[in-house]
Amino acid sequence: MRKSDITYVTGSVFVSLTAFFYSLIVFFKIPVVRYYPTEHRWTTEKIAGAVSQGWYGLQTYAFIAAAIASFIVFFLLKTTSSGQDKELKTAMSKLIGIITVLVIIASMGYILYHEYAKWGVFEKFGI
Amino acid sequence: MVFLENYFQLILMLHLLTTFFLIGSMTHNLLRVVDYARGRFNRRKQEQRFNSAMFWSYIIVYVQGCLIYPAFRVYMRRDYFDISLGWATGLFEVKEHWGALALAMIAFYYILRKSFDPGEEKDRCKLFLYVSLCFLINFIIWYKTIIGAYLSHLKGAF
Repeated sequence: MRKSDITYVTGSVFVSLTAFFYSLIVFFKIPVVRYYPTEHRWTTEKIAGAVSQGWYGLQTYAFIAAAIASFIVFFLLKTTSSGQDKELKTAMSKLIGIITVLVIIASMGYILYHEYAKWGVFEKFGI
Repeated sequence: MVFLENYFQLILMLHLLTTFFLIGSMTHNLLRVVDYARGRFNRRKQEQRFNSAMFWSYIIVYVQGCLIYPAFRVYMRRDYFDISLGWATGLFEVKEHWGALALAMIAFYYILRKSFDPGEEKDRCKLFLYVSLCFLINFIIWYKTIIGAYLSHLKGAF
């Protein structure tokens, strides 16, 4: 497979899995490392009454999980297609593009719904 | 004392100024990418330059955002939004989550552009994803910019 095709497939996997894992962590409320700005601490434990920030941990987990999966895909593509000058088929290329865009949009939609419902944005704007 | 609390206003101002640069490069890039969707490929080099400018300015904006977040979390969210304007926190949370997704998208967008030439016939099948990513990134960054400006206005960050 051509180098640009490998980049295309690996990158698509990375972006769609980042979006997927991100939503998964939010949906299942998977505990992440949190930063406590007033305590100056990073921990997975919940400190009662203290302000915390889970966003750093949440994105790090999603990026790492997606990076591992993408590396596996990259490694498989490299080893299985080495020495071959095959091109990614047009239909497959378009399918990968469509799936990637759909996963991103679904993830964005879920995150929007989750946060707006949680914080009363829908009620505020009468939706 | 919260992390970088004393530099909050300075970094916030730099964050805003870098955002102007980001918006400019991103919008110029979008116009060239729309040309691709219409089958015009004569300004590819210019488009690639805007793509690089957009990528690096987003990285800088993102790092600045990460640095001011602790002070924002304590003095704006905890002391103001969470107490009386929960819906504003909702708008902010979506901004941050989408921003993280945009980081992955923009990194791929940058690398993808380096790996293919939109003008080449054999690479045309990748254009759908490239154009779609461009629109999604524009949408997210405009949301982030408008909501960020609105929230700063609500509290009066300075």
